[in-house]
Amino acid sequence: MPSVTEPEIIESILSGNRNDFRLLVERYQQMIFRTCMGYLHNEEDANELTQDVFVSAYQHLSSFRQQSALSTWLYRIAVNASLNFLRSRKKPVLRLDVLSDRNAAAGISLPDADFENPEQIMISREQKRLIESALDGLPDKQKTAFILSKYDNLPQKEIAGIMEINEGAVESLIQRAKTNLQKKLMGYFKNITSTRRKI
Amino acid sequence: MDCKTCKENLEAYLKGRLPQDLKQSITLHLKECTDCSIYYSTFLLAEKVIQKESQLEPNPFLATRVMARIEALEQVAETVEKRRLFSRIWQPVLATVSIAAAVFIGVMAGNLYQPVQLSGQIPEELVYMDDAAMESLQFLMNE
Repeated sequence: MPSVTEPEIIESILSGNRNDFRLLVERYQQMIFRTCMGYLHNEEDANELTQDVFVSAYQHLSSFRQQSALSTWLYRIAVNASLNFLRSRKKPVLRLDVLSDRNAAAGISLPDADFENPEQIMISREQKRLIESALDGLPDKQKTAFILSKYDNLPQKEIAGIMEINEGAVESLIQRAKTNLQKKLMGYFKNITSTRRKI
Repeated sequence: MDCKTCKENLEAYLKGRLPQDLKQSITLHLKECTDCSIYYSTFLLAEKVIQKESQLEPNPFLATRVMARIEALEQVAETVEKRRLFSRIWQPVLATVSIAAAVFIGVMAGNLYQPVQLSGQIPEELVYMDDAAMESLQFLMNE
């Protein structure tokens, strides 16, 4: 039913038409999955968590007051669920300095900066882990603002709505996240370069 | 070109949003400056990882799985509701009926009881067993 509006779908679900919830899942699954991927970096976990987000949304649909867009409400659930998942997982902290020494010894190199096209870069598994680890190490608010901006390409206004802060704060969080990421990664790559020079 | 300007414009450079002259000077700077070159490499790497992850598709059966989980949850909720209804209504009813049945059975059993009709005479064979008659209490007290 393409002409049916979101409030009508919600009303229908709340009046007992459970199957109408599928319309909302199909509409928003890609966006929620992407957000979960930003936090978890694992397809299987992200799929599980996306399911949890929708089940939770269904269970609490009656508490959705429709003062914000449904997508904003779903994003909030996804962000909270992802942060809770990360806290409960208690993943061992990956030390970038240790990684860099190991990688240097293993001959893992820096990507060639002469490339202008990002498609030309081949990413090793270790490099991917490095980026993920640097992202995981960001404070929660910076991480959320960065993920919503980079993974979901959301405008700052929408991110501000999801995080319930003003747009200026979002801008500041994204900038700080970028700076922190660069610091972590630069330290790692400089370490690799100097170690390889010694070798 | 200085490093600060280069770093500030890297995102636009990467996305091809810079005018040709600025693009050329950044390309030249990246070849000459190791620090900015490393900075750009990490930038590229992060962009690539993020791009790759954000292009992934969710499981095609995700919606079906979500609906199945919701259905299972509702079934559990229905069972719980039935149990609650049972404990709230049927349990007291059953208890009352059980008590009523027990009282009824008791009354019926009581009605079935026939008291033994005792005759006033002592059978002949028991006469000798009447110790009181054989030895009087007065006799024992005087002893």
